[in-house]
Amino acid sequence: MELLNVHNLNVNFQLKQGDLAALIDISFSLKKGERIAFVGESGAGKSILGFSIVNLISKPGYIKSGSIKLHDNELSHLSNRQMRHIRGKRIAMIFQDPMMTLNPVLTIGEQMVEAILSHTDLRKKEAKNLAIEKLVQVHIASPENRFDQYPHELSGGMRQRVIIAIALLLTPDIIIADEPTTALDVTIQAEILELLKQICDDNNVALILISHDLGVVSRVAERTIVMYAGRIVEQGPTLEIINDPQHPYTQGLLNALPQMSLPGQRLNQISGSMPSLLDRPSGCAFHERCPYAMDKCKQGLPEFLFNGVSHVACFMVEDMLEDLNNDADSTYFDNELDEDLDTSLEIQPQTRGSK
Amino acid sequence: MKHINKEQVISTKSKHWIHLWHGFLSDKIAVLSLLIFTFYCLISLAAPLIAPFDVRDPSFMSLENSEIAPYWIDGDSRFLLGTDGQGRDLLSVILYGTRLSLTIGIFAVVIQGVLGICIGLIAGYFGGRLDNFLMRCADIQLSFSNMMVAIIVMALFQTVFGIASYQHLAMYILILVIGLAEWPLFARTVRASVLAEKQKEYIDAARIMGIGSGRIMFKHILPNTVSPLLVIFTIQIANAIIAEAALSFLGLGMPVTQPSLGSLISSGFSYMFSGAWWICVIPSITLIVLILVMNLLGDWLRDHLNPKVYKD
Amino acid sequence: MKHIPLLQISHLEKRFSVKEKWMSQWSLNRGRSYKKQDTVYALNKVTLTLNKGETLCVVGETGCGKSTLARAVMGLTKPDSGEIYYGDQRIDNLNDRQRLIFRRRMQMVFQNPYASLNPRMTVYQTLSEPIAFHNPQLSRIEVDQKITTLMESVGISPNWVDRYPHEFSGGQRQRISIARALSVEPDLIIADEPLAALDVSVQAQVLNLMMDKQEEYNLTYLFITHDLAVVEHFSNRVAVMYLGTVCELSDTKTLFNNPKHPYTQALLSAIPRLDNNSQKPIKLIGEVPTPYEAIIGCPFQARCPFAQEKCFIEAPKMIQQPDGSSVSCHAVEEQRL
Repeated sequence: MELLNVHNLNVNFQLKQGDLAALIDISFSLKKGERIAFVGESGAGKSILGFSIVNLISKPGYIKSGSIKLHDNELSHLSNRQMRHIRGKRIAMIFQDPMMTLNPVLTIGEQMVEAILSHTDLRKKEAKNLAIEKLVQVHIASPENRFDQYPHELSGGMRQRVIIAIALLLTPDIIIADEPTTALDVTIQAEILELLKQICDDNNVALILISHDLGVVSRVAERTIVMYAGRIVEQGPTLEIINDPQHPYTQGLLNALPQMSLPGQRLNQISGSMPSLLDRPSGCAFHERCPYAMDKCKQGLPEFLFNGVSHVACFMVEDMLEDLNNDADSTYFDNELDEDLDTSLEIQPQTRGSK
Repeated sequence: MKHINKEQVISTKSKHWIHLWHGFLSDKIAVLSLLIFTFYCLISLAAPLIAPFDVRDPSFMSLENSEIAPYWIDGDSRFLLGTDGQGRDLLSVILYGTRLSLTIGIFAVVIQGVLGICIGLIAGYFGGRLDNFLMRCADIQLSFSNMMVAIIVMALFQTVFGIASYQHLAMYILILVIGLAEWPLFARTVRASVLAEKQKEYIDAARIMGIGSGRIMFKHILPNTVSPLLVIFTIQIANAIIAEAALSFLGLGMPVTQPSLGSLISSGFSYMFSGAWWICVIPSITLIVLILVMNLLGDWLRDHLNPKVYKD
Repeated sequence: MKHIPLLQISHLEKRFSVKEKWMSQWSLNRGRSYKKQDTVYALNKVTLTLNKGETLCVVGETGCGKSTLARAVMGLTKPDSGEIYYGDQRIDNLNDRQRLIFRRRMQMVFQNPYASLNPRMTVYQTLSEPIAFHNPQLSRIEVDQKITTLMESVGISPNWVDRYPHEFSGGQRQRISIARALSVEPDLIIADEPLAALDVSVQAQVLNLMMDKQEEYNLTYLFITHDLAVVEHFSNRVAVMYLGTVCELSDTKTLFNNPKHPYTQALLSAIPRLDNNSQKPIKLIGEVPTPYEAIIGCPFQARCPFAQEKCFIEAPKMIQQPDGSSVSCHAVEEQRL
């Protein structure tokens, strides 16, 4: 059953320079309890996507078209008041900087109780018990003491735990975590990631992880969606994407990691940098940096193709698949499909992708 | 290499200013304010040329012409705005008065600025005891009312050196007194910006290069504090003109022989109820419009250069 | 490779007092006023040697004092005790004027490319200032030529010489920072997390550039980072720091194959890797504390799963291991691990 279904979502920014597209034709779906990740560098639009899902994009940005369905209820047209209900109860958000969510002049407890009271009919006493129960769930030692402390008295990792506890308060269906560990140290990052994973498993909560770090993503997510310049370029099971990336951008991202080259050797760099909203190239936005760019990459937009494992939007992959079909009369392809039957069944074929 | 790309240089360098200029043009009040302010500047620069009478001419004052109402009431075409109690042409006196007020305002603020910027830079950059000392000095200076300081200094000067030499030096003393009284405003703003900029790594980079403190302060930090300074500059000129007017009104400013707008209002005040209202009202309007325009310009600059500058 | 020591740091200590206002240092307690001063112990007896032509990475988490170490070496903060030698010259007690000759030899690249370039200075101004300052004999044309070659060598088009920093992307700014550091032809470059603010693909570009320059000019790097993947790829030797002390110092290969200090082990297990997701990270107790008091015993005592009584009493010494690494840990010393 699909919990969240985003279809052809377009988000634009109304700026002085014109109406600029920040997200173009984003489609994906999320099942109950599934953990997916959006990966991309800064400027790819992954954070804007996170905000768009909960209708939180602020002024110059707006949802131009497309639908966001949660349990078959359309979210993109909801009023602010209706959306607030959804945001608190059904979808929770975790940000990179915990102080963005925590009010510095209220104690942890006051903030948690307030969140519960505004969404449920519980009494104060019950709310406090619930809050402490959630603090225990995120492994905070002596939660009764922490309950009465102010955010600045806690360390960075502890704050992020509190944020996760707040996110869990109203037993949401989805947690959106936008770079939840970027501000933390390596050892704390590992713990928080473990915690997130475990919490999602225990409570059957779906997770949308937004990150630039493929290492982080590989630890947590079952499915990975790679974004570049406002578009999805590849999506599939995390393991497949990491072991056998199809899109040149995904390949470039992975190959650029230091562990992919021999010590002392030069890294495999992608030349150039992510284009800004203002000067997005025509055709496939990656063609200027792509080592395999062809003429048609500059003009046409590649369609999403399903290669049996993941969905890729790239002309090169398209050509390769065509060759394969023509040459081997699809026998090879059938075998491939059989082998990956388990994984491919798990990923629901995307409506748009398979078109 | 530098010469080849000159065109490009200009285009990139002035981008920020072009942007600001377009924003400026779209704001009607700001444009109007700037126009009026330029008008004020022009007439005060050209006062000796356009004024119908020469104020320094001894025959300028003649009691037989005193208290003539403006042209549209009295119909005397010699005196467009009428004459004052001593029979001076009000238009000429106002032109010269504006010139004097603006000069005092601008130079006083230049003194304030130079003092304040230097003290602020030093306090912010070196920090520690020196910073504490300088900022406490600023606090003490601010806790005296500026007017009080000015009154004491002026009164002292008049008694010690006599009225004659005071009249001779009045303008310079006013500039000095108003200039010295309000430096803490600049110093505090600069210090706050310096503290923020000092944290940034480019200052460390400059120190690592071995560049001296003076050069770092003036060449690296100061240009980054310009926007809030510009705002204070405009508003402080208005404040200095008001301060001068107030002092003159109290009889401690410019002497009657060299009237500024303030002393004109002051001397006109006594004719208010004898029917010659114009002697007081016309200079007042001139002053009010000037101050209003400066404040509007300052406000606009504040909104567009740096919205975070504190509102005074 | 022959090991010629270029930079020697011995027993370096640095404390910061937290309360800066002298008024608030005095507080009343039961009718008596007393002076209180919170001191943070940022560096505790750090001893390191940097050999010519090598890359030494200093690794550690927030608050371990690695940036303070860099700033102390560069003379941006004055250490409280200890000595720093450049070659055979002691440099930590020099004044600004005496230090000037060493400024040319040691340069620094900073973490934040958005703050490390003066926003009101063009690239030309940024680069020409140190060149003209350290080479007053050069004519204007020679300076211009130097800037052109410098910019080409870091991959920035010399046509952009009159642009302001805000017109460049993060990666390009970091290249300009590197160009500025190279402009005085140093022997040693200290890089304080130069990749932390950059995207993955740009990180690779900058790291490659740094490696190219090292080869070209035979540079020595003191590379400060928290990213162990970069360390493994880039460095010759690694120093792991925790709470202002070096707890393990060894060759990169040895460290990654056979980490000895319990903290190093935890750190290595926590790297999010693509290949070994089965391995659970070693869980440490709590988080890095702020060292308000001088530490008695081992700094890692509070979080160490192997801590024993001795660790709370006696500070462990750096002890050379058979494979060439040095570790400061009682457990390793007693072969409990």
